[in-house]
Amino acid sequence: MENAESVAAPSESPRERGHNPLIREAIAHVIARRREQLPRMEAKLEAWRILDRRLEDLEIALDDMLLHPSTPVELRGAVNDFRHRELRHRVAECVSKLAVVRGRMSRSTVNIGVSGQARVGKSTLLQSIAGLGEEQIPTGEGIPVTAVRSRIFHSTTHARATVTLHTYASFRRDVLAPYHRELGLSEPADSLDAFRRATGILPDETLAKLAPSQRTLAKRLRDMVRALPSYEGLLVGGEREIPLAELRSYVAYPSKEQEDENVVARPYLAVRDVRIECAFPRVDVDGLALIDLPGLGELAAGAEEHHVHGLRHEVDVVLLVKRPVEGMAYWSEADGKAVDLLDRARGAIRRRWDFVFLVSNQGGAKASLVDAMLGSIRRDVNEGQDGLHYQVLGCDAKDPRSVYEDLLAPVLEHLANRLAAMDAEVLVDAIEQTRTARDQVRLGIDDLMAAVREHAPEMQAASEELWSRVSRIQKDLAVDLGDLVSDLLRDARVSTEDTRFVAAVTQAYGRAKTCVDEGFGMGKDAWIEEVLRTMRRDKNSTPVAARELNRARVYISEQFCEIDRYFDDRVNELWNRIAQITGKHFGGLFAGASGVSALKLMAKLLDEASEPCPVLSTAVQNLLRLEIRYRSHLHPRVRRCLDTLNLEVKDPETGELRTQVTVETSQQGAEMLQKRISQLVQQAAWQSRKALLEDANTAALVLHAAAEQFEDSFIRSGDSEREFLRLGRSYRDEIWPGVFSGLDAKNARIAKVRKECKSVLGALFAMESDEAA
Amino acid sequence: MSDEGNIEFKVAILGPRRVGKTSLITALLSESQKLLAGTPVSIASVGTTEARIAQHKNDLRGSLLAGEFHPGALGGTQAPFTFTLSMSVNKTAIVWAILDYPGGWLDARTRGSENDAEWERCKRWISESPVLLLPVDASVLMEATLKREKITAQHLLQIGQTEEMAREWAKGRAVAKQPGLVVIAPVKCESYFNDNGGLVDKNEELYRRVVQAYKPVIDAVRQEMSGTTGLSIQYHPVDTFGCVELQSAEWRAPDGSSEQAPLLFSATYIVRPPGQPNPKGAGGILVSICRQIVEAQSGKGRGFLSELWAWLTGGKRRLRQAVEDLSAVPLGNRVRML
Repeated sequence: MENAESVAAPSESPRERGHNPLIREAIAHVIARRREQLPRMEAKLEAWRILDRRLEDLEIALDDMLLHPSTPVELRGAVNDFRHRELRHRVAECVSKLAVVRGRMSRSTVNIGVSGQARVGKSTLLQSIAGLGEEQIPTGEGIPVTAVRSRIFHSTTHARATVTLHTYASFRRDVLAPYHRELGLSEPADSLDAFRRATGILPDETLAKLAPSQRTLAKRLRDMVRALPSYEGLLVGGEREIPLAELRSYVAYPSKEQEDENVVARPYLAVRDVRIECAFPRVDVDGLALIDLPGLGELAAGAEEHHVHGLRHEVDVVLLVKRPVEGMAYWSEADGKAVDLLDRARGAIRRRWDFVFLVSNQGGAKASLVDAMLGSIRRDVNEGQDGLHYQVLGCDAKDPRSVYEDLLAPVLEHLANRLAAMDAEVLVDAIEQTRTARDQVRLGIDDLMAAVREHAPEMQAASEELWSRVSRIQKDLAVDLGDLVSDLLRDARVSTEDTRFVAAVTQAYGRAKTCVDEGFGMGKDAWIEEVLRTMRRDKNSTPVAARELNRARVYISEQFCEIDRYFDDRVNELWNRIAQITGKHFGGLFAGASGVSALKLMAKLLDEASEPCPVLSTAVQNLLRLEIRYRSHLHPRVRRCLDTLNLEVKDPETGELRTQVTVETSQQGAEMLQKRISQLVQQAAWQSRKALLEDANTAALVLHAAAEQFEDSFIRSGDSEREFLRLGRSYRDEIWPGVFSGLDAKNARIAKVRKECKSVLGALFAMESDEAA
Repeated sequence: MSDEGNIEFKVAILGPRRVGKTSLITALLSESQKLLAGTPVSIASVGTTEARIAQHKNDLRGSLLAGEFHPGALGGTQAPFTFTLSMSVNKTAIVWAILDYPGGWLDARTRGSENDAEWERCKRWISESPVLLLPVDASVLMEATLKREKITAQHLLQIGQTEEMAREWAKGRAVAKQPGLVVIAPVKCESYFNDNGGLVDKNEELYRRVVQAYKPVIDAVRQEMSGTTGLSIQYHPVDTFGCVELQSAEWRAPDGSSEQAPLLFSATYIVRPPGQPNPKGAGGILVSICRQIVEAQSGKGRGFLSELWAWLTGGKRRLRQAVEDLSAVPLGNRVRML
């Protein structure tokens, strides 16, 4: 386990840490990075929702097939083995996990949650950080006062509160229904009028019969009904801006005195959410928000799950506040439950101390009680070692300066250091889980398709119509592929420069030059110093010169290897063009997949057709194996340009070896060596650039050859015609939907299952292609 | 043309600006001195030429000491200047007078009308010269890879303007029924030969590129002198410095230029240790000129070369012997007859 104590840099004062511009920049960078990743996560989530729908369609098709009496017993067994409900459950988990990640990535603020049991000073703490007072964040003595949690945003442009109001429907669902469930009552009244008439629910005699814990809930429910006139006018939904000075009644429970009155106003019951914007006086970090979480010990009925859900979606770090006062200066069972709850909310974040800080609100507390509480935390929470699971930060919640310096500054520094890592953990976890689930679905579908292939009766009716259509596809493909091959031949023969290749080579050359200019990646002075040290150790310049020249040679090759990205693009373009052509003629067979995924799907479908097509499949697979690599295709041609980067070279006039660089073992010698090696590397890089640009149409030649080979084997090989017919028979309903309708019900049901299996496969391939991209 | 002890031999240079004409003449002098070493004949720069070449050598030495060589660091010719190299024995001398004028003057647009009169003098000089020297920047030709770079190379070498001037020169030779020697001399060739300290041999590629680029010039001269005997077109690649080799080059678009505009070319050279100049290939030019003079003895007519020969045979025995000896020096593997 890593040590949480490493979070803060001990050499700086807290104030310095808090105002460190690096922290501000780091947090801004994390927010920007999240925004960049959002579209990708949304696409991923949508892909999983599509997969879920495809599986649902398959489930229906399977149920329908099982209902038919003629479905073979073996096939029924295979369907039972398929466990589609389990797979759908896994997919639903993935959707939920990805939704959490998307929620995280869509946040435009870094959110600090403040939690803790009642009466520990949470609201005081929030007041101190946000610079707000009793009217906005009420505190009180003795009884809980926070009725609606607020979200407080640091803003240098606004000072306002925006209240989101319930409608009766949302009030019924979010507020009333949990109480009804907990108390075993029937559903709440389904309209406001009906609710208004329900004043007689839970009379005193009923209340008296309930268990004590339920009695509190029941009393609260009764209070809601009685106070309805005070808030029913607010059950209108939408947002309302409230002056900060008048906010209290919307967020606070009535005071004790108000509770004693006959009719108590409870406008807070109509409030769904409160958003406060104000300038945090001591904070220098943009996009910071405080989330006032309900006291974990005072959760209303059914609120725990809701709370965990909210934490996962809204909070980047949680401050769990404790107060070392009489009767509370120890780690209680309620505290244990609270961290258990936070542990669930932590999700994929690996380290507890990344997500939760324990805050000791110890201002004005007796030193003995502070010691007792910290001792209890050390013993009962951190297994006797401070910071093992949670770091404890002590502050005085009433003192804004102490709150800032002792609490907020270290927390912000922690976020600056660790938030990106936490994001990465959440992301990796989601991706790993979705990959596993995707593989499971894939395996299940493979098995199911194999079973259908093995046990399903032969499809019927290879009609003349089918033959004629298949023949037309083959001819059309021949024309389009022929045009493509002609295009590629023209590209390969004309001397027009490929600007992208030129750019790729020029960039590689630029990188090599920059590396030399920057002292081979370590800075010129550092390089000279290091080389001088080595020369002094070796008492000779030769070994280090030889080593550095070798390194430079390898480095230049590596830079030019980056040209592979260009080659990959070219190969992908070819795959895309061929996939487009085949997709155009094979109707909906590859629906959902495109480019390389469509070709992979095509190979799979050719293999797994009810009448397999090995020749066509091999043609596609060979095409997919196409690869152009700098090392194999170009490097042999430019290798000679790097010959000058050997310490010893053959003198062309004498035939003897001569040493290119020899310098004395001194500072001046090291500087001379640096200059000489730099010159030789620049020269080799320039010569490599020239050699590569003189051979600029390698890619075009290879692509033309590959396309021609594919065309030959796919269209003109001996078995091609026969396999086209097999392909047509195997997938005729996908290629020509609705054209062949003479099948009997039995085959139609099996065909439907087959079709839905392919749809699922299509969704899986689309996911893979998205991931590859 | 001559006084009692001296005779002037005019040589014309047609080369674009900054091609390295001064460097070529410096190399020519240096190698000629080597060829004449041990004979009573000596060759030296005279008058202002001496100062000019000394300045050039100083500039070069400074660049070489810095360990990195940028040809742009050597100043280009700003006004017409006649290099005079005196090949003398006792009080008689052949004065090789090589007119160097600003390379930019080849192009009327950059010459400027204020220089028209001076340019007329240059043209007259060129037409009277039996030898036409065409220096070519080898690196411009060899380091051009992309289409736009190759087009720029044509611009930089001013092939079109050179073709026109060469045609005029050939026309004049043909009208006067005089022989002519055209020397195409790629300069800064150190990076493309491995016989003078270099590791890489690209001389065939250089030859191919030069001949391909200068084909219009060669064709124009041949057309104009098709009815005349005594035309020789020769290829003399020269290592002007001998101790440098190309490190890298840059083809850069001028700021704000269009995609079709010519690029700017610059090259950086590595100085080969120990950084001592060691030119090679320029001496062959002197040898070829001497051969032209010797061959003129059997020619008919009363042209300059015949007069020169007559002058040499009239009591200038040692100088004539030197010309004959030089004409017998082998030209070496680099030189090719075109």
